[in-house]
Amino acid sequence: MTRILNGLFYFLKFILFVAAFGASLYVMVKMYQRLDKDMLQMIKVFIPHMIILLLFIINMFARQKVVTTNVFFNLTCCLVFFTITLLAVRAIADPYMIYSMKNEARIDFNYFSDSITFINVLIYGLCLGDVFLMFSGGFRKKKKEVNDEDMHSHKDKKHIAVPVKDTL
Amino acid sequence: MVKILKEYSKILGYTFIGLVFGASFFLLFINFYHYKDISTVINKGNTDNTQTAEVNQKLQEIRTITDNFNPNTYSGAKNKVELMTINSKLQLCLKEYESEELKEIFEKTELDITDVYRFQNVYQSKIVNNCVVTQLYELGLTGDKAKFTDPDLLRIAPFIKLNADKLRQDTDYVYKVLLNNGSYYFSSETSKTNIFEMTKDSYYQINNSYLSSVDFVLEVARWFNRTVGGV
Repeated sequence: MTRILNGLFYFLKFILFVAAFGASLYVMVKMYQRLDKDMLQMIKVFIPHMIILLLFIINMFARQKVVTTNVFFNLTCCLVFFTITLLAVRAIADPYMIYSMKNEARIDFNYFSDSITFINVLIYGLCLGDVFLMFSGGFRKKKKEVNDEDMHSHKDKKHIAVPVKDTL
Repeated sequence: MVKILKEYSKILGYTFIGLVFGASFFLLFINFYHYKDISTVINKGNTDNTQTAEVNQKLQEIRTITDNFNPNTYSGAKNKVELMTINSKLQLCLKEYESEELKEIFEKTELDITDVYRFQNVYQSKIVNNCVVTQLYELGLTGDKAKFTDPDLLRIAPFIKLNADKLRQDTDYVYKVLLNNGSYYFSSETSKTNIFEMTKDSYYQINNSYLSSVDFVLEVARWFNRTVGGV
């Protein structure tokens, strides 16, 4: 059950990450267009997104099981990205936002800019949690253990490397 | 040593994730509450029927006063041109009160925040700008700025200016609150419901200002009626 849930949250967090990033990017692009500001300055708003994406990639390729199979971490990621998506969607589509009625872009930029700080805090929190969990998991030791019995019985076969179990 | 560091690292990791989890839930719930707050629909029911009847009666009185004044038959000592100007100002005000946009809002039985914002805009442009400021404010000017010379008018000029100034700024706060309804603050539900319900209180505040403006125009019209001798 835990494995199924974990698998679900693991994939959902990537989908929600894309949704959160896409929706936030849309609002930010419109906001910068409206303010006639240099688009390159927008990058700093998305630095936390880049960092968390980088950490996800490291987790994935370094097979950091302590992070990737952590249901609580994956659930929190899903919750955070869902919240960010909701904030962006509300800024774009909430019919009761008066400010969005007034501007041409039909987006409540005030509401979203109020939320940027919270978004950054949440993502940086996730990054810190991820990094600490990675450290707690330690680094994988690549050792090849060769069984003598196997060596004699399967002389022509290649010896299979058996990974050492994670200590935690 | 490494093991202890790993344990601490694990504790810190879970602490951060726990904090993020809590903060995220908080942000999510405060957003649901905020959405609920701004999407409130108020049901006016029949409460406005009495008000509409009273307002219509007052507007009818103003109409009777302005229609009764005929400069061709006026034989008083007052400056006829000034009286005609005041009369036309009152007629223009009356026209603004009878605008379709206002009627449309008062005919609605249920209002959401966008309707209240529209009401504020219509009230501000039609009544405050087009009637109170453009038409009646001139009547309240005294001294070097005075546009009218009638001593009776100059006597009530401070009253007109005071009321016009008050009405001019009466709904400024509501306008700002409505415009910034996307910004929310972290207050308890009890304090928020006791202090200010955005849709309901904004509507009634604008409505009160609207009623005050009707009374104000009526007072000016009654003064006008007395000045021209009730003809």
